[in-house]
Amino acid sequence: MMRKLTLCFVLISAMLATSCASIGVQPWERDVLAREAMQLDANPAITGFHDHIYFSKEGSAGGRTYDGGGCGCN
Amino acid sequence: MYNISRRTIFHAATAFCLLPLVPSNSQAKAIPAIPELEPYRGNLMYLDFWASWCGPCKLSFPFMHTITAKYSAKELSVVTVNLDRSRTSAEKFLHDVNSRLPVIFDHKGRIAKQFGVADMPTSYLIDRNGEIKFTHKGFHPDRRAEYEAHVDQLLQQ
Amino acid sequence: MNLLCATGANAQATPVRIDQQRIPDAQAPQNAYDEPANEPGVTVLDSAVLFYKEDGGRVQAIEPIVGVTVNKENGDVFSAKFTYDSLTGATPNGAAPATFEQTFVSPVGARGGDDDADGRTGASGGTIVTNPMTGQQVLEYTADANTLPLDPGFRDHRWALDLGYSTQLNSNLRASVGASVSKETDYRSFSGRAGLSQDFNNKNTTVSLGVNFEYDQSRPVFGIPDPLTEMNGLLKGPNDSKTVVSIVAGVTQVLSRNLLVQANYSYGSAKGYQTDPYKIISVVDAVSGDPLRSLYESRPRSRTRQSGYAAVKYAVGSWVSDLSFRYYDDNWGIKSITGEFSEHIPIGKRAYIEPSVRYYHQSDADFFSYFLLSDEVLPQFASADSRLDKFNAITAGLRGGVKLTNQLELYGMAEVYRQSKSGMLPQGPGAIAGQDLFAGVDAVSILTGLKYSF
Repeated sequence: MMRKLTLCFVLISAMLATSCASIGVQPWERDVLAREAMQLDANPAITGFHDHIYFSKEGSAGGRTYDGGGCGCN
Repeated sequence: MYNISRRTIFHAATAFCLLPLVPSNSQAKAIPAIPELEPYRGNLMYLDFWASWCGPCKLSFPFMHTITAKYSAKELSVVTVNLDRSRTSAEKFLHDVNSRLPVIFDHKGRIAKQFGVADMPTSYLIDRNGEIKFTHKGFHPDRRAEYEAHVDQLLQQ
Repeated sequence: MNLLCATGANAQATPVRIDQQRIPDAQAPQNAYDEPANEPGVTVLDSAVLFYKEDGGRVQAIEPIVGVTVNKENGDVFSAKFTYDSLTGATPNGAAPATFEQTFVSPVGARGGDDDADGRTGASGGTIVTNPMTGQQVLEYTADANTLPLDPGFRDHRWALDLGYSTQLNSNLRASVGASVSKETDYRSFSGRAGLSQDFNNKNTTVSLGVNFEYDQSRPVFGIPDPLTEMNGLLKGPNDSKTVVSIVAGVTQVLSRNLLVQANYSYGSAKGYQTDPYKIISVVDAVSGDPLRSLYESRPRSRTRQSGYAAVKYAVGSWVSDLSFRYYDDNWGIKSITGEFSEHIPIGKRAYIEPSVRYYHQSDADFFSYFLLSDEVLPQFASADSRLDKFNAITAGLRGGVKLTNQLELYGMAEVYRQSKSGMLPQGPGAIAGQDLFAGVDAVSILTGLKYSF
């Protein structure tokens, strides 16, 4: 199951990274993505508490990234 | 007979797809014909594309005010193009940064598309012949001196 | 040309506006949370306090945090966060309930460093008992009949500091590093991390890779017990530690002006001491079901885990929906799925509420067991810690915030968390068959915070 997931992930990344077809928006069409409410980690304090509580009370731990989205400026 | 394997085709396709990532050599190119820019023809122009939701754009306006003050309107025209979908947001931003610079409203990004704007903000330094000499992708406060040097350089010519 | 303002002598006084397109004005952002997120040149001070309380006299915690994020004009971001944790209350010790009162014994000075002589009740909730012959002191506590035994001496303080720094290497490449330290009376954790994120396709696609290295020291005040030895009041062995290396890879893709998706894959490997030095497991009589003795638990020294995560963020007007899934498995036999959904709902011009729900299900670890049978050979590993049990958990939460001014935000969150047994409890022998062995948690969390930007 994990092998399939890994392969899936690598393929998706490679496809998206080298994609000729432009999926997405123009640099000036990121007004909604720039919003606070659309950020991947809108409230780090709450995320931190959740990570700590769930790690203490459950058997799983998960890594996440928070890069991407946003205004895409500079 | 040429035996082109699937592998070769895959490699060729990937290379082709990667082409846009190869930096193009920065040859000066003429700006597209934009009716709104007609009044500024024949003058050195600093053309800036911005939007109210763009953080670095907020930092670029003080810089543009500085160069507007430093150079007379005859030497340099500083013109901005706004890419907000909402006029109200744009006006609020202009009020916040206290800007008196000319603004062309490009709600649908028609002008931005013609210029091939790839970053927010993007500024173009256009010489008197209507050729783009410098492109500033993004606004970096620590490169202000460099940006000004570009303007100076074009003024000498 | 359509100049909206006068030209000529007054040209400098009234700014020029050129609008050839005559398009009706799109709606301006209606709510303060539609405004852009942290911009370069802005520093954010964030402070919050969490109150956490489990049902049944179990763990309670107060956790204040204070953090600062400096977004420099050149795009660098520096962050620092300080957390302090104060825990009290009782926690299941892993033993099984009996039809009679049970007594458990632990070395003295086992919790929060408190030391009480003369047989008075220790501040940690047990009784200090002195052996009149040897003068040796032990801490004793009891569990009532037909109740899940709780270790009452759970009291600890923890503080943690986290530092982070990130910088833009070029227009499409961002690098970040960070370090963390966490200390409590009987546990220390140190970690360092580094990451890179690369943009493609006009920043519509972002691929990121992060690596984390962690070193944890387990230092129970009375020492580390030998695995699966009998619970007693003697001081134990030396401290032990573990190291964890993990990587996480992610891809974020903008699908449209309103739609963002993300996928992550993470892999981690932990080597070293991963047993809970305070937890025990009961050996029950194979016929009567009565707990006969308690053994310190034992977990493998190696754990590899993987998880896959996917999320979608979708905006409709000022509302934003967030849906995510995680699949996890590790070589201890635990597999889990997590699903979360939240809806950001604007209220008026300056506030929002965000109801959320989380569903979690995990399978039990291979070596998890509620008890051991007296006629069985001792396994190599065994633990009755409910964290390793098979259970479901639901969190229902509501968070919200209001921008008191453009710079000051008040926010809060309230959540109810409930774990429930998944599947059947084992059909144990005799008396144990009638006991409720599930030691999962029911808890309430309330958080309130203030964020100030300048």
